[in-house]
Amino acid sequence: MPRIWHGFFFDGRSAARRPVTIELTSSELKMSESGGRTIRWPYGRIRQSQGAYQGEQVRLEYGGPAPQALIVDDAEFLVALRRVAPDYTSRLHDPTKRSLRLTLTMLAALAVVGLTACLYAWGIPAVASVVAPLVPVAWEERLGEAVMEQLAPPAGRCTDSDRLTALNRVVGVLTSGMPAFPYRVRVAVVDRPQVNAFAAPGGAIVVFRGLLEKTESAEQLAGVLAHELQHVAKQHSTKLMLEQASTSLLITAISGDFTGALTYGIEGARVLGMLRYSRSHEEEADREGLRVLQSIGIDPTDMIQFFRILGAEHPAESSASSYLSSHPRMGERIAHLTTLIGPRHAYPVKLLPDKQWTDIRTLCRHRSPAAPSIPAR
Amino acid sequence: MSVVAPADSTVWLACHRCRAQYRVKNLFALKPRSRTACRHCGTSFVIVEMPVGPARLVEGRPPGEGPLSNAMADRRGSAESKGFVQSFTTYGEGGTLLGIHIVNVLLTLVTLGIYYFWAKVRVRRYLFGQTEFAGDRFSYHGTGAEVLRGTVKAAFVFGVPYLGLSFGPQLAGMDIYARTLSGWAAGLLLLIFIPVAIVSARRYRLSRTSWRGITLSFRGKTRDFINLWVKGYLLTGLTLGLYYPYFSAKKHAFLTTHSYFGSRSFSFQGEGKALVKSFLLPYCLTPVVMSVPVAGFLSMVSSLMKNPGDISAIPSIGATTVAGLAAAFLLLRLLWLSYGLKEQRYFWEQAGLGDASFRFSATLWPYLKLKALNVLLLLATVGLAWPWTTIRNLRFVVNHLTLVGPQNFDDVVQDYDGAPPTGEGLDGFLDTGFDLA
Repeated sequence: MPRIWHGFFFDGRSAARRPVTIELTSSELKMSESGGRTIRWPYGRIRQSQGAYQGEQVRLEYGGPAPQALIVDDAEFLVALRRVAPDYTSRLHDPTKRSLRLTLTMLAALAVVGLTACLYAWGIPAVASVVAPLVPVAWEERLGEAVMEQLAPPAGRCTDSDRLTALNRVVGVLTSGMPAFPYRVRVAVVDRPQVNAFAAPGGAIVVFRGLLEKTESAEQLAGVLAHELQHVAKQHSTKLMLEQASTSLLITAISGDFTGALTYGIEGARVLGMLRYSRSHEEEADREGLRVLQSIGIDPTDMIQFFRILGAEHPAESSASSYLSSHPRMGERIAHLTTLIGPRHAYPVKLLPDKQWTDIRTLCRHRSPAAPSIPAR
Repeated sequence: MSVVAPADSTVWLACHRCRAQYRVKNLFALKPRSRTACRHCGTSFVIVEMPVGPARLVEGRPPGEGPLSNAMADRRGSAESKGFVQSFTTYGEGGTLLGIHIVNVLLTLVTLGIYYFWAKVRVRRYLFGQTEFAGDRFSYHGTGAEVLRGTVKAAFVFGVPYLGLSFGPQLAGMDIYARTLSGWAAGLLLLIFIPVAIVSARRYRLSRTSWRGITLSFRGKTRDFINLWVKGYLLTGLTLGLYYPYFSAKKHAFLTTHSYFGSRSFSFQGEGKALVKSFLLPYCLTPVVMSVPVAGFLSMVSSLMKNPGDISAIPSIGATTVAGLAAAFLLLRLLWLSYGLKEQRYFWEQAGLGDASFRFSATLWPYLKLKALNVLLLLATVGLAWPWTTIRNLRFVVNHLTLVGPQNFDDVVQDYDGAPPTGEGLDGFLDTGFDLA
């Protein structure tokens, strides 16, 4: 291997490029210009700023803050440098280990895949579970109110106070079976035909007229409300927001900086990723809601019966792939709940006579001057 | 074949064998490895290289052989002092950048995000180190610790107050007036933050970039840019966007003319009025294009209102509206991309360094192809093609960018006192993108 190399020297003061001949002595790197001038760099103070990648020039720097620089086009120069002065140049890149670096990069890729899967499956839900209880109840309640204003504006709510009070009693029975429930439940019935209900953070629950009219008994609505109350109690909305933020950060870390059109792709990936968390929350709300019904003596088969009604109402959703849905498939939900119920027991609690329930279902056909949401507790 | 050095973009070529002369109107249209033949004697020739000096043309040689490598060796000669065209090149490769990215991702995940700033610096260092101008590569000296410090400062100075003003009153249960007032204050803070971020990022990035050992710098005052920004922003709003080309040109002029390569400053002669004509086309067409799907939607809704029981039309209304909006969005995107490219080309061609000026020869169709393929690659791979699209974008810019005119970089001296760029405390945050002037 030659001990003389050719390169270009920059003195850090002007942009003039100076061809130099380089000699590697035992104690220093010696550069000689054609005019006879010699520049010497002790090995110990040389640092490398380029030349760690295939095809990249080797750039060595010396001094600062405007350092002198030496450019050599041949990576073998680094090998020679490390051989001549191994004690001083061990921190410089070693081109002979590039194949090892390739192997390590491939291992890193495998590690990234494994780590991403672990974070997605366990890390993010664990972070959400730890952080969500730290969010003050008052913050969740204000956030819930903001959601209610948007999705269930007061002008669209049903206002019959007598029948709302009856609903309030149902909610009161349910919350009596949930010890350490810190939220003040507000139920609003919205005068719209959709067969749906949802819970906002902090105890706000919205029931659509369509759902209320589909229920055949107070116990069936109690099943729905027990499910929604579990969303509130388990802070599912708050956790979902935390999981959403964490998933976005995870995807950003994997895909690098994204701008423009990629934003849509990233958003799509995030939405798909969030579906799993959403399904897991739904399963938990079903499971825990059913336990609350059992603990206060309400027959949980009414809940399942109403799920069958819902399934008949949305047959397309029931057959959709569970991986592309925010909810588990209705058939799976019913089967799972049936398993959880176990042997048949007698459930003594009858919330309201069916005749009275038939009347309460007409809530939205009646108007009352006051339009309260129900302060259940 | 010999070449007569051009006084402008015209060049005269003479065949060595028959002495026939040819005039090439646009020197910059010549591409390395282009082939042709003398019309009189049939002698073939090929353009060996365009990066330095006048185009070197060599008789009867196939591209990529012999003279090309000699030309590469000549690149570092004294051509620059007498040359007219200096080119940019990038040697970056998507595969190598992917390797860097994989290690970056792993370390970012393991450190719960803290390594993100070092990762950013590693990528930039690679991209700069692979980019060459006139035979010498750029060098990036930023560090992850500096960018992290800048981000933390920005978070405390702007981020925390902005979030406090945006969400604080709502979480504290304040009334609607307090919330509105606070929202306005947050907007004002953001209006000031953006120009500060732009200037700080540029100041930091240039102060950490060098070529031939000479550091670039930005010496504009942040206060002046805030004034320019706020005035331009308000005027653009008051004129319903018509002031935008003037605002854009003023911004670019400020950022360019306060940028230096060592002791030599960049120049910019551009004016907004030169862009107005190009701007008016997408500006005027935008409401027209948008009105078509909206009008279609409204007419369908009105017909539905006349037959309220007929809900079977709802899916077709939805599908037609979505398709119309998508087509309108695509058309508008094309119009504004076209304007964006014209603006970019104008800005480059009005910029210079010393007695030389930049040329940016990108045209619309290759630019659209680049953008469309990038989008497809990114969507198909959920972003994993990012290293390749980054290299493709960089390659597109540097392949179309040249510096034309007499230059002698040997005269440029270091003008850097070793202190932090201008003593500002917010250098380094929002430090994104890759631009050179």
